[in-house]
Amino acid sequence: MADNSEWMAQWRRGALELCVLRILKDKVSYGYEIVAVLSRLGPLAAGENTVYPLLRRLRNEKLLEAIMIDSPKGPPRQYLRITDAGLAQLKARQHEWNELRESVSRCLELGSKA
Amino acid sequence: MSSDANQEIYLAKFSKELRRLNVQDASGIAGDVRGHIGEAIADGRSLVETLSALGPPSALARAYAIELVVADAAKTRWSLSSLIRLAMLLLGASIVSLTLVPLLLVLAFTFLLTGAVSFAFAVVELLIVDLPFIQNEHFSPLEALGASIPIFAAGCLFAWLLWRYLRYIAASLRRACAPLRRPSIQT
Repeated sequence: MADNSEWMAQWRRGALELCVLRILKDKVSYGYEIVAVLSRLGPLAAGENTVYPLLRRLRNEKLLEAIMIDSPKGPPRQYLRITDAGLAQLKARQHEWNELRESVSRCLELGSKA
Repeated sequence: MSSDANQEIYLAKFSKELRRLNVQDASGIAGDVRGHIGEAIADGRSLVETLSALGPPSALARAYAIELVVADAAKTRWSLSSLIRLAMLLLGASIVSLTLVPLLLVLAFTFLLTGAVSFAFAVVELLIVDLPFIQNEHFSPLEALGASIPIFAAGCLFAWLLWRYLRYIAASLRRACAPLRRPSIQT
């Protein structure tokens, strides 16, 4: 059987940004917690060394912003919050993703009928 | 070695690698990673497990470089002001270089050659044969030998200055042309 790991990695890389923005749409979170949420989503699980650089880039692009919140487990912790620009980006990407998913599904169904 | 020491060694290597890869705000990113390590430990993971999950410092730095440097390069657009800055740099460097480079080259070549030839002839005359045609009435072979060393050293100094100047110009041009090139992350 062919090795699909690289193929999956490419898909995951593209989808990860969308998923991180979606996770942060509902509530503020911090890096390690975001990694933990993704790890429960099967194929979307990505290591810290993938997620943390992505979070930094999203902050640089002003799609996320950092805020300090007191932590019950120690010193104040840096949380990430989605910005208005991030919400707009999420909406646009979600729309593109839905269209892509429907196109791929239609294409695969077409193939099965052929 | 204590846990804190391991963490500091990891972060120091990570920062160094970020700088080598020309990632902006290396200290800020290292601060972020320090925070992420703290989060994981506060949530019950050991430092060893946390550092292991992050991977080697060089690999983590490359991941940041790929994510940040490539994203920056993709956004970079040549503006009129950046082109004017590059043109001014090239013009200024050319005018100064037209004077300075030939001057340093001639001085370096002349002093190095004079020093080396004086030294060689002085040694030959002292040890082997009499060469009256290279002497004048004021300099003995020993004096010529003594003078040849500072002359050669001055030649080395001019050659070094020339080398440093050329390297400075090359680095300035590389920085000015950076938006033209896509960054290549060495793995």
